[in-house]
Amino acid sequence: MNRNKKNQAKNKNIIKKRSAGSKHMSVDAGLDKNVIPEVFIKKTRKVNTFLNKHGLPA
Amino acid sequence: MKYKFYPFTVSPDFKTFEFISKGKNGMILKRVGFISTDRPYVFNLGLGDVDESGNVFDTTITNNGDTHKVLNTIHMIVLEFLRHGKLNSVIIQGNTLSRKRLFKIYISANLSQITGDLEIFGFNKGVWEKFERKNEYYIFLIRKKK
Repeated sequence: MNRNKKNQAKNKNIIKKRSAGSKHMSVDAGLDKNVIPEVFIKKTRKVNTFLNKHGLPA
Repeated sequence: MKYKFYPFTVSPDFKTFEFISKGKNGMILKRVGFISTDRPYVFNLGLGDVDESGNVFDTTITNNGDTHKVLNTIHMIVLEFLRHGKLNSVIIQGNTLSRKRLFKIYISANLSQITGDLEIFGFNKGVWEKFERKNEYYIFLIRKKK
């Protein structure tokens, strides 16, 4: 493989890595498996009651 | 953002985020969840500490000495969530009076940074209104400007 092709392959890998996640954020497939915590569901029910009563900003 | 924040992980569906708070009480795993409400594109923000068994507690007072960094991280997470789903709105409501006050103080102090392409509303005296520093709110809504 000549140098040009080597560089192209290297750049491709870099782009792949960068698009998979930024410096401050990375994707974790395992997080999808978590069930929504009951405490979050309870709080959201209250928010639903609130939204039904007061609606959303225009 | 010019302030420090913790790196975080996100689920592929962009609804669950986690980060580790590092402070005087050690390392504490925090989870931020965006839960669908009955209204389309409106999500409720849930925030809690995760224990070793994976249980989430949203009333724990962590007192880890890094409140500002944690709030900056939540700010970043909300930005990422809204960037991912451009029609989404986020409802934020502290579950204690001190947390409500804390959110209000944070938003007031960072209003110029937050309101680039976002708009923030607060619920005050029975109506939604554009966030104003002088007013008290107990529930907030953040969304992209229309």
